[in-house]
Amino acid sequence: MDNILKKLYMIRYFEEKVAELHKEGIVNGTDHFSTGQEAIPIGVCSHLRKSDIVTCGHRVYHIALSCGLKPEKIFAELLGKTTGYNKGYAGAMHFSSKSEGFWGANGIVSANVAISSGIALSLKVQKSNSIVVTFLGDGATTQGIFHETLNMASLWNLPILFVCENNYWAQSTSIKEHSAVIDLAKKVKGAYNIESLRVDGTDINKVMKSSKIAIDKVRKGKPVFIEFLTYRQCGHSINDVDKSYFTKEYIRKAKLNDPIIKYERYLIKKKLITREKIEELKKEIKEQLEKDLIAAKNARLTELNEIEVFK
Amino acid sequence: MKYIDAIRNVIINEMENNEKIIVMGQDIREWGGSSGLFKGLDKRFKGRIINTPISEAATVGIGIGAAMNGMRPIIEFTFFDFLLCAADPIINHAAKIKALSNGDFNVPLIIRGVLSSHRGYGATHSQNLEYIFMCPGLNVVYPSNPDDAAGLMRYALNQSDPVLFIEHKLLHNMEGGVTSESVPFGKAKIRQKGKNLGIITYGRLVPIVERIIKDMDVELLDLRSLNPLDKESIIAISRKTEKILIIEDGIGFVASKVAAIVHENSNAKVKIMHAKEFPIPAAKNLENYVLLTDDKITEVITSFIK
Repeated sequence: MDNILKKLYMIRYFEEKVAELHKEGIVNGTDHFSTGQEAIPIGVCSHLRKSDIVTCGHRVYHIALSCGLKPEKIFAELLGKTTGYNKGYAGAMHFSSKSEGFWGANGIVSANVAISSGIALSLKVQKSNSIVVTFLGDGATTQGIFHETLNMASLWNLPILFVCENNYWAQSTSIKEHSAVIDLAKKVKGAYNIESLRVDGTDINKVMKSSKIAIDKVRKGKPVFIEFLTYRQCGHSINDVDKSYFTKEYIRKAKLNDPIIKYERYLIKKKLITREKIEELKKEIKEQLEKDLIAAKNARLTELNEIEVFK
Repeated sequence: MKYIDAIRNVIINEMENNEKIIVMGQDIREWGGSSGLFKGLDKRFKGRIINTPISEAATVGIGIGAAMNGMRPIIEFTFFDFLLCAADPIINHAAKIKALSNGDFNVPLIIRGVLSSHRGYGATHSQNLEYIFMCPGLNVVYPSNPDDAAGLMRYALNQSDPVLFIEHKLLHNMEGGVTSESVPFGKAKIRQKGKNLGIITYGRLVPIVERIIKDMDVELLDLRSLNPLDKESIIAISRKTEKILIIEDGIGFVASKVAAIVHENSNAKVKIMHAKEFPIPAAKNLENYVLLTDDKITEVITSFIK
């Protein structure tokens, strides 16, 4: 319980720190945050084994941190430091940590769906017990490669879990405008005969429960698709400041369904935690992140001779 | 041995010694692919010859993922033009994953792209699009004879980076001796020595130019590898002859790149020859107008050499 709450805080505060770095002007490029969507990867990844493999698209921090990646090394990646996961070559949209089972973010929407299915194919050929989990957004479900891949994953019984974080927006375009079928789980089930679930992704207890069922099925050698309904409180990227496309109703629901507030309420109601303990945890996480950031800032910039492809 | 059989033999030998090699593509199990290269191999390599749906992008994406986890997929494309359907996984991912992960991941994926110009297949089945894929991180090779085809395929299957292996349908039946040597990437080869003119070309055009110049005092450099280019050999031929002619079946992007190297490094007079910039027509007379023909090449060589 403590661990889940800590992860929720860590992701939220980590992204706030990254936003500050952009304001300071010391990160090269853009960023995509996950405010409001944090519960999904925390819940899903809690069921994974060390040898399982996770990938995602461009909305990455909540997923990478759920996989256990170190905040310090992500900060360092963003700052181009030698201690960064890929020494700064990859940056926000492309970093990976092979040894921690996080095989990469991907800057092209839905490209990860195919690559991850290929990893799943290799696991199947190698008769491994491991599985692949790939995260995508609702916007990714309109890409051609998504449909090509789901068809093949179903035909070939690949051990992969497709986790769709449906926040109802593809950048600034609403799902009503971008998808002819709004119930994505139904769409996938109907089109590709892949077992599909549709679950509230803002309630971590529901996320945990449903993803356990899904992952158990994937381990038996079948692909599964879970659509988690969620809300994005932040803009698409750091450049999307005014978010004028959000309706008042969406903003209201997003606040009402904040996964952190929901989980805190649940814990307090069940008398599993006190307000004091919550404040203590928040403080602890913030202090640790501050230390991580200082360590990343203090590391030296990557030298050209440390880059594999420059050698 | 025929060019196509030279490739087939290398793949069979390597597959027998390396379980990690799998083959994916459209119609490869029953038909053996459009070139028939894999015909009859299903029994020998049970489960390793995988038929795919008509889904080029996903097939390459899946190939990349499998390669990241230690497999060595060979993906066959019936027509080179279809590679455009998979341009994203090839250029955005296969070519970049090693760099982005700073070497944590390799993508030992081989894509066989079969060119099909000069056969009347028309605009979407005849393009020489190799230049589009000459991007950092992707090896692009195009053997002009059976020995190089075998040597480059052998090398490709024993290194760890992605390769676009280009063949031309019209080379598949070409006969020639085959050694057991590997041909490393980035190494061009002199096919004929001479002083009056240097010709730089590759692939389908090499045997054609060889026939045209066999009694002339002309040097011929076969690039073999388009990415990386063998700059040293290009510079060497440029400094040896006063005139350099660069010929390509496409619309001049590869030739222009080579011409820039020649120009920057020598005093040679440079000329490039390439197809006209039109969608490729189907009718033979129109196709001949747009594409290079043996006659056009002969004419340019003889007039340039004077």
